[in-house]
Formats: sequence, structure tokens, C-alpha cells
Amino acid sequence: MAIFEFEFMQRAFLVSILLALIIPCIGVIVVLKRLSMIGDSLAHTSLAGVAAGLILNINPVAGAITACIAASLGIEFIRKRLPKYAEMSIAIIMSAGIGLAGVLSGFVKTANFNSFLFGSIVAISDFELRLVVMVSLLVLISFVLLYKELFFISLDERLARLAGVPVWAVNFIFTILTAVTVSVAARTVGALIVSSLMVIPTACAMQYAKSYKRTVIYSICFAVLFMISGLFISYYLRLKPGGTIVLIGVVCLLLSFAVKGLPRIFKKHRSAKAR
Amino acid sequence: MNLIDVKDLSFSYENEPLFSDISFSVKEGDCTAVIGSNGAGKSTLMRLILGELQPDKGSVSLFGQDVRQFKDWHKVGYVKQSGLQDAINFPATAKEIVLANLYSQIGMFRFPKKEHKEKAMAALESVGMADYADKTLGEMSGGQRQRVALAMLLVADPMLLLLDEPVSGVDSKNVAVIYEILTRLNEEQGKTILMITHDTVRVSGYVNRMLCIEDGCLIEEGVGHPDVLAHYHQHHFIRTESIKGRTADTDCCQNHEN
Repeated sequence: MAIFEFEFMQRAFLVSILLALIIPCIGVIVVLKRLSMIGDSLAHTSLAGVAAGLILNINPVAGAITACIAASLGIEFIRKRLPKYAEMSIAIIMSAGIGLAGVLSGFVKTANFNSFLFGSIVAISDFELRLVVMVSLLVLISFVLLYKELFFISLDERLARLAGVPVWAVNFIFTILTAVTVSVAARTVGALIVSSLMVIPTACAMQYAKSYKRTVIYSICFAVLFMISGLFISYYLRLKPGGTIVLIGVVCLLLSFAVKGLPRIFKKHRSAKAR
Repeated sequence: MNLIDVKDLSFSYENEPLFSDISFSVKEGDCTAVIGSNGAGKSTLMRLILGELQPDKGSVSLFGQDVRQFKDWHKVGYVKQSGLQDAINFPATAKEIVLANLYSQIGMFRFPKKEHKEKAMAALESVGMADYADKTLGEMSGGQRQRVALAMLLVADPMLLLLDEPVSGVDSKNVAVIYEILTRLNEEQGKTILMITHDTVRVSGYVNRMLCIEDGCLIEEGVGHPDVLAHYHQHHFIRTESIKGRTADTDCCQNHEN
């Protein structure tokens, strides 16, 4: 196929598949802990790190990772202080991140900053490719090793603590993994759409899966499907890849709702007819 | 042997005393119910026993050890007030949920083995939920979800069961099933049970001790002891009458305004 003749497209597919494997692993836990907006908050904060990196002449991805880790620890800190209003922590950190990114972006002289908003999955450097591979391995291994701990904490943090799960340590590791995943994904698929990739595949999976294990597997399958089809469509229709991937996800989710709703509509129709 | 020792326990929320100088013990093999009006401090007492709150005064010991130093949590099983009702939309099967509570036996970074899965199935079977092992909580009734919560507790084989309103929001048929399961666990397996409940009528037929918390005090006696139930019902009567009075006053005001 012509699309695979270009090295940049081969890299784009490799990076997309790796991200499609790790983003839903984080996404499932984030959704089940009812922190769906955390990805958005971290992605926006990562822009402040990118801007700081470009100003200080250090790697912007390293800047994004540092900013994301600081932001996610900040979210955890505020969440613990205001347990009844946990979602407020996300809004506070997101506002701070956007504010800081807005101010710092005024000092950035290069045009590179804009590529972080919508990503540049077809312009992946050697360094970024190596980074994505390393982060993917780290997230996948950690997710498999902490599979039952993350499950229990998402189900009920209090019961998990009583059962002996080191809740604080697992939450801390998960926070770092989320921060690293978001910053790497923000560089490739774009800061503005990375949270959609966390939530939409999980939302689609939850329409069909009847167990936690299947929810994780289906989420990964949906994410791979969105990524690959998004790259194909964006390549042939000359569209922005990041936005195309997310829009395909949204269309699939709407179709899932429709497919799930149809039997109920038919049932209603049949019972009305019978009356 | 005393599994729970509460000595001179006092607790207050923002300088508002909830109870003071409460003392009681739960012996091995006891099946005890804690009754009292809403806001009397029953759930707070449970949280103090679990070491989640610090008392103003007094101490709580589990298995002879101060709760602040207590480490053997695998000996204690706990079902919270809402059971698994909060997790109704959680995409997990009953088997996955029960298996999660075998954490201390499986260990960190390890995966459940065949024997652990068999234990989870046996726990579900013991509460009559084996047929629901592959169903999610959303596919079950409130009573069935509560039985899964019990299976989750039983799988870890704890010696002491702490239950915060185990039959709240459960229909009468399932209430009887849950009480029978608890009686079986107490009488046949020797589990010690401390449960908080509002169900004063039915629970008295299943427990061998009752504690009543009212107005910051605790009355402790055997089942059906006139002091305990009379005290509880007297408070309920006074409260109900005062609520009726308030409602009547409000109605009078409304009528007057009209």
C-alpha cells in the first residue's frame, strides 16, 4: 500500500498502535474513578511545560512531563484536602495550567508550540519514537503488575485499604503513569484531544463489556481501531490526524448508543402493537 | 477472648459531643446488633472501631491490640453502609469483585491462581449467588448485590465481621436470607459478628446481644431485654411525636397564612 511506503507514516502507525495500547489502560481507571477530565487538565498543563521547555531551550517533551507530574500530584493533593469536591481539584489545576501556558506562550519565539496543540503524529523524531516505546513498555508492565490493585482501588478505595492494598503507593504510581502518558500523547496526537482518547474508547467498551477484564480489552481494541482508521482517513482525505481519530471515536460511540438503544425501541414498538 | 474492646470512648464532631465514655466488649462467637436512632453515632462508632477516626478520649482494641497499631486486618471483614450499591455501574462480574478481596492471600504483583478462583466461587455459593458469578452488579437486585458484598467479605475468611446496616434497602425476602446466612456463619463457622441495624424487630430473633446508643449513652443487654428495646422505642416515640408536632405546627402556620 502506498501509505506504508513513507517512513514517516510507518512511524505514525507504530506510535499510534503503542499509544492505543497504553492510553485506554490509563483511561479505564480514570473513568472508573470518575476523574474523566483529568486527562484534559493534565494535557492543558503540559502546554505550560512545553512553553517553559522552549523558552529555557530544553526538550519540550521533558518540560511537558515535568509539568504533568507536578499537576497530577497537585490534583491528588487537592483531592485529599477536599474529598467531597474531588472534581474541583481538576478544574483548579486546569485553570492554573492554561493560565501559565497562556502567559509563557507569549515568550516563545518558535512556531513549534502550535504543533503541541493538535499534535504532529506524522512528524515524529527519533527521540520521540524512542520515548513513546519506553513509556509504552513502562505503562504496560506497570498496568499488568498493578492490575488487581488498580481494580480494587477503582471499585472501593476504603475496602482496598482494609484488604491491605498499599493505596497511597499505587495511587502515586498511577498518577505518575498518567502524567507521563498524557505528556507523550499530547506531543503526538495533540494536547487538546488526548483526554478524548482516554475516555471515548472506555465509553464504547462499557456499552458491550460484561466484566472488568473485557472492558480493558475492548477499550484497547476500540482505541487501536480509532487510531488506525483515523490515520488512513486523514492520509487519503488530507485531514489533521489527531482530530480525525477523535471524531471517528465520537461517531463510533454514537453508533454504539444507537445499536444498544435499537432493541429497546423495537421492544416498545412491539408491545405497543400487541396492545 | 475479646475481639473488640471499647473503653471509655468519647467522640465529638466540631466540639459537638456525639457520645461519651462508652465501654463494651465483643467476645469471640458473639452476634451483636447495635441499634439507635439516625445520628446517634452508630456508623461513627464503626469508623472508630476500624481506626478511621481518632477518639477524643478512650481506646479501641481489636484482638487485644490497640486499633492504631493493629495490622492483622485480614482477620476483620467489613461491609459498609451502602454495601456495593455505589458500584452499581461498575463493569465487573461478581466473581471479579469477590476475588479482589483475596488480595492479602494473592499478594502484590501476583496473579490469582486456580485455588483463589475456587475460593471466590465457594464464597458466592455460600450466599446462594453462584449462578450470578458472571453477572455485573447492574444486573442484580439490591438484595443480591448485598449478598455479593457478603461473599466478598467471606472469601477472605475473617474471624470478625463488621456490618454497617447489612439489610438497608433490601426487600423482606432477601432480609431473611441475609440474616439466615449471618446466623449460619455465627453458629456453624463461629464467626463473631457486630452489626449496625435499624431493623430492631427482626434482628432480635437472630442476634444474642443488643447495644443501644441514644443521647450519647450506651445501654447493653441481652436480646429482648426490656431496657434496651424500651429505651430505643421510647426515644423513637418521643422523636416521632416531636416531628408530628412540628409538622402540625407548620400545617397550622400554613393554614393560618391561607
